[in-house]
Amino acid sequence: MTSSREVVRVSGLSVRFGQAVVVDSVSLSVSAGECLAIVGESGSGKTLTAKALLGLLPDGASVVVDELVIDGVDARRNSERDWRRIRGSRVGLVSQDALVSLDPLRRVGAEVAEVLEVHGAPGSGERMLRAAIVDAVTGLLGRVAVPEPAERARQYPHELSGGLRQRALIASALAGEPGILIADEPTTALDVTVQAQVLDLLSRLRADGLGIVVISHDLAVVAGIADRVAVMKDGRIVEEGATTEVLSNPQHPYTRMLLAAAPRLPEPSFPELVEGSVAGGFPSTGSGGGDGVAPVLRATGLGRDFRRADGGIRSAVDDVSFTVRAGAAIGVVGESGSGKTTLARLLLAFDEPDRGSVALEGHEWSGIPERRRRSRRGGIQYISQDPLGSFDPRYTVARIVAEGLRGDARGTSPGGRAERIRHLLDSVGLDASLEGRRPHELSGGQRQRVAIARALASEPRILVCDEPVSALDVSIQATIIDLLAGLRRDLGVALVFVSHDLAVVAQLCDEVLVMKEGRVVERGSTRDVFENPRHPFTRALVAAVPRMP
Amino acid sequence: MIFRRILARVAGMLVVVWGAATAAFLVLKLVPGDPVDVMLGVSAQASPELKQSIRAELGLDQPLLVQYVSYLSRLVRGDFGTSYQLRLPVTDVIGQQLGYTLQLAAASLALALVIALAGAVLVHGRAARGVFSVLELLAISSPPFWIGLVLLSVFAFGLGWFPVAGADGIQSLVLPAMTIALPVAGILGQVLRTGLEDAEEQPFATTARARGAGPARLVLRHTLRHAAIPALTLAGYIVGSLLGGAVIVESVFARPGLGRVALAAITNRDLPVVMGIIVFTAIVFVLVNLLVDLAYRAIDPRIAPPTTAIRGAR
Repeated sequence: MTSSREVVRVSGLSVRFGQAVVVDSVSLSVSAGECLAIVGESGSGKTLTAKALLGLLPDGASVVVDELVIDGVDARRNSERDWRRIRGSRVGLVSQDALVSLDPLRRVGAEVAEVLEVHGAPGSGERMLRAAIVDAVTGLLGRVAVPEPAERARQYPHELSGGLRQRALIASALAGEPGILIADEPTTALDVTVQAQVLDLLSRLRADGLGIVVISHDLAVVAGIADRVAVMKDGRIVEEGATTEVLSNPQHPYTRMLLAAAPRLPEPSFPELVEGSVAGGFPSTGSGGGDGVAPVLRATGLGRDFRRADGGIRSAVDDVSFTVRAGAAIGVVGESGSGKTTLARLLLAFDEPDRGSVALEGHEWSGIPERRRRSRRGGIQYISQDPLGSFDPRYTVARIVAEGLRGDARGTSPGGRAERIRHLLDSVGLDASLEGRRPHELSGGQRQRVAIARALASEPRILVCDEPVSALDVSIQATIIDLLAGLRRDLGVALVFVSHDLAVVAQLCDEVLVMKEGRVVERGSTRDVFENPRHPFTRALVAAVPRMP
Repeated sequence: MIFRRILARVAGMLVVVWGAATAAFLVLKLVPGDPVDVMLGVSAQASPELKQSIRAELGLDQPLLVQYVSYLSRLVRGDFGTSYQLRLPVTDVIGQQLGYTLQLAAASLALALVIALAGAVLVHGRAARGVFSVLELLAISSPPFWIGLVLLSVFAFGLGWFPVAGADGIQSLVLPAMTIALPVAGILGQVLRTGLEDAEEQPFATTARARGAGPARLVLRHTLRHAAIPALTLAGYIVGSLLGGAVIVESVFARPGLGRVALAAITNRDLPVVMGIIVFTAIVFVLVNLLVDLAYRAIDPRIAPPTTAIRGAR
């Protein structure tokens, strides 16, 4: 494989914005039929490195490079016009989330055809006739395994499923028959089962001789497809080598930290996962709980219907029942559209169920006027995926946390209040010096901690978390999960943890509900469900989770 | 489903026109002054008996509700009444003048579009864009009559390129149309430019550039359609500017047209003409809104009728 033609050769690539060096003497090479993964967390410079290979760096970036050969073309002194000749014909780009990376106002076919319209027929560069382009587009969509390609070409991106959209985006990047494909987080917005299919497609293309550079924050995702991995941190490649080598025998401490932080599913051979530890003391559903204490939260036969565009009815949540006892942690997993978020909204009484009911701390919670709920809202709190959107950008951290204080705590002396806020920040591992900061001055992990501190301010008995770590880097993810587990242990706060990420749920929850099309298809202790899934859907879900060798 | 939707839409449009007609009727009944005095002229020394008989002839002696009902029933039949001043059916008055104003409005709209598009698409570079935005701001914040006077004094009196007044061929249309077009172009240009800049930041624009698309293709095939969506929301404002501008410009440039008729009808208390123009304007707005809605759907498939969306949903 190494003997084949080199399609990318870069050495000494540095990118600077003013004084800040964001990419620092990066060198890499990719051969035809080879896949190189560049892995790093946000701000590591991986995306800028990828953009430099397309000449698409933002204005204000200054580039120094010793060698830059793209599919046989020396691109060091490329003008914008030279770059345009290369883009699409010699190097293709696939980005995250085809819903916004394909022009939403244009038909899928028009997007796939664009390269052919710009560059003409691959190879010859001759202008193509309308009919020839339509045929070529159908062929390309077929090649990336889009069913009914001619029909799909006439549809718009939002009319296709996430997986088909991403395939169409890949087809549009392949249209000019480039030697190298740059895939920037190509599966990040996708469900695990769809992610597996897209990764599969990429490996097939690689086997056909395409050189691929995959950019990802997730080592596990690239483990299955990359021949070599380059780990980036602060603009530098800190470690590079064959994938199996890097994963099994990491040299650099940062690589080791990344590997350790990545959440994993329990291996079947893993002994005594949670028994006797945090989760041991809490009975799972069905065991009744004879201690006479009312559960913190009880959902009975919950259902919520929405009217579809064609007038039909779709049950987003259908006949879901479960009980959360004090201090328990329940995971809700499923793919997008499975009803997880609707369920979370029902539990929080942001939305009223059409069927069934919710009880909070033994008293009715759904079906009563909001006026009667308001004084009890402090008992159940919400953590969202993106806390930035839930903060007033002009508030300081202290004021954001103070928002969460209950009426009585708000009324106490200013000194007592400040003391309480400091205590809350301390309990989520934030330094008191951050009090005066505003949301945009915080990192993603710090923001999520502030959101948790605000939620804790009202001393809730239960936190409903909707994908609380999905937007965070793996190393940060791990610390937030640790924090939630610690809060549960120390404060006895119960958790309902909604996530598409099975591995994260496996780490944190002792019980799990698997949702599909609004219904709970499987439930049980986390270990049972993930080690020995019974429902075919759970099995597919577990099988699709990328694993490191 | 679709049929019901269209029906609801038409009903909504009728309600708006009915509301405008009713408001016009009530407002004009509330203003003080006797229309019969106006009809006869200030100098006329008509006896009270004669006035009374005119009132009876026009139905002005009837109770308000009866007048309202007969007014509405005439409207439905397309009868807008007869002008007190011109002694012509209101429909004829509007019909005679409509052509001039349509000409003016169309020319203004075309000019505004050309200027706004040129400013948004062709002006590049920080400095040039800065200068252009100041010009736009100036155009937006200047009152139309003042723009008209400035254009007149420079291009008609000063340089003598265009006639000062009248409605005689293309030459005479340029300055009046420009007067209305400049403020419209200013605001339209700003919205278009912001829309284009927003669209250029979107991931799909990066994808298009990664396919080798040049700046011209990027604008024409991608970003301009995105920028057109916020620009379309201005349609109501623009139609208002065109009609309101016509009132001023037709006076400043002594052109015939609906605007002048409206102004004359209001000063002379020619109630049927005023009400006719109000109802006519309401109909124009309702139709423009319908067109804008259809245009949204044509540009943005995400708000297309549901039947097509479901076929693709998986």
